[in-house]
Amino acid sequence: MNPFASLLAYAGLASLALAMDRHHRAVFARELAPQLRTALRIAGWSLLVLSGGAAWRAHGAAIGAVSWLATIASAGFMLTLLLTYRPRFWVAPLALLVLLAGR
Amino acid sequence: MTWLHTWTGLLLGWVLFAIFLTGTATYFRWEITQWMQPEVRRTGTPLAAAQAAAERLATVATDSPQWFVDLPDERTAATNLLWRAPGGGRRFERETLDPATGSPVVARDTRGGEFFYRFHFQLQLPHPWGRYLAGVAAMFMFVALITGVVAHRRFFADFFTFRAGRPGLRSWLDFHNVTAVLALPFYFMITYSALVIFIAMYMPWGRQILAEPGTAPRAGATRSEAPRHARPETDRTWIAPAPLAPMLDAVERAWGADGRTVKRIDVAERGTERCVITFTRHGGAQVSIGAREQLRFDGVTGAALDPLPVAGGLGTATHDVLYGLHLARFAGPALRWLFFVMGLLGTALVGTGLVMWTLKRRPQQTGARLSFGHGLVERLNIATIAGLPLAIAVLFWANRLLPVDLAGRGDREVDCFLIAWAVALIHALARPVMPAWREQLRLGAALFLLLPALDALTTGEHLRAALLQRNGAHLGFDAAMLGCGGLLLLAARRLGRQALAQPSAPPLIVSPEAAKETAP
Repeated sequence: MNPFASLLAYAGLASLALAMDRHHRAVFARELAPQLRTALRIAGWSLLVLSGGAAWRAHGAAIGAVSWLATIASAGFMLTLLLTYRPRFWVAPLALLVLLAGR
Repeated sequence: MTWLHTWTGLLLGWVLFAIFLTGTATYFRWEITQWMQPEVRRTGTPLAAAQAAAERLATVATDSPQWFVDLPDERTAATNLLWRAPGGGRRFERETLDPATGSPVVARDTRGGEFFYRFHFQLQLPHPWGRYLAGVAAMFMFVALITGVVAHRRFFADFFTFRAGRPGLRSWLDFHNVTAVLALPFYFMITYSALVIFIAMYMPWGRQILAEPGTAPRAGATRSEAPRHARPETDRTWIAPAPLAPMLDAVERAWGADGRTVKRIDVAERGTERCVITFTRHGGAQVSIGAREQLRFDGVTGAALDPLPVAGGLGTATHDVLYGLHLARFAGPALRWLFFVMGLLGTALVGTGLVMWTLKRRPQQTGARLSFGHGLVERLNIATIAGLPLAIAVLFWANRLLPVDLAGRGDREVDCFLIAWAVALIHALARPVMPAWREQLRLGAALFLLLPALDALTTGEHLRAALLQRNGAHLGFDAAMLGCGGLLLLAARRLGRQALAQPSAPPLIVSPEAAKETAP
């Protein structure tokens, strides 16, 4: 499991969640604009693809694919728990991504 | 579709819960063994262990027609020897060696992580019924997965949605859905591969696809198939086998002494002119369990032999990849933890499904008493979901508390597990439902949370050594036990709150309209 791939997966899933009315309202307390929805969806899927690429580069195609799916499951579970109990902290894990990218 | 989902999920739900939980523990099979046998610690290289093992076998199994050696690697500590007793029988002797000295270890007898591995597909039932039951359960799970996807009307709309603390069924259903949807590829993989692993048992007519006739037997991929033809006739004269030491030098030159080097040694048909010695390399990060690298030697002359041709076609290759995915031996520590978490999510998926069956039907139970069937499901739920973790905790306690030199100690540990589980069932039948849930969850939590303390009290020197050597297996196990205890405590607290919300027993769920009226 590659930390960069996990965080990219988390960021992608978070974008996709924020492109959904219910979660957007819970996090930002305002309605979701249609253009923003499209942008978030594109960003979300792109980040997921990037995360798959990072997993591939780190582990090769076979184990990369397995580890990518496992990463999505666990990142999605963490995101769900955050959206449930601390909706405004959804961004916290992304700080790590910025740190990693800056390195 | 919903009724099919409901009933396939319920009928073998308790078996599935047990399979998922013990199967999840199996991801740490060798780490659990290390914790349960703290006397054995890995030292030296696998190659040095192989040399020590060869010397040991040459003294204790001189006349044996067949040897197996399983060598330590980064996850296992001891060398395991297995050899066929001389005389042509099917009796095997086994011994666990200290890898450094090559002498038998003086360690507590235990099944270790092997217990969880065996239990998750044999369920302590006589062969082959456990495997058949596990197969039927896996088939039910597969049907429940497919029907669950169809029945889940808001698959995408409810993504990432867990409305915790909502009254009634809502939060349970959300949790059930979230655990199902996020790890869905994992569940399909694990369930389907479970069926494929024993496919020759469940659908014997397809056997020829897996091992195509006319090709050589597969290279050590299945231990049980290879040795069958190797039954020596007693009237033969004994042909002295070649010594292993020069072959081990060749192995070292090819694969090195440490890291991804030799993992298994098979010596077949010792004492005959057909004797062959096979060295199998550690699989490393490779998904498929087939096509492992091997070095083969003629057992009489010691000359290197050509590698076996890879047998089987696409069917075998698919089988081996699915088998490998199921075992997840390719996974490094981080990925293995992810698999473990997904296994726990799967356990929770089955558990929440079982609980929802009762929550949904409780309001329909009119009359002073619950119907027998409903009561039975509630009690079995308690005995499985709360009782099985409790029994597992008791197994670990027994591992530390039973006298080290007790005869048949490994079996006594399992007896403790089974007795604890039976007591949990009796307790669930005897007590009212909510107190039974709370008491079992709390006791289980306490046993798990206190386990590291017990570890320190009973085998303190091993824990200290683990700390000094940064033994991830031992320390990780203790940490995981604290985590398990925490999860059970969380479940007990949730349940306590639920009971407070509905002080007068049924109805356990509130209709949405009623909830709105009572909400402040």
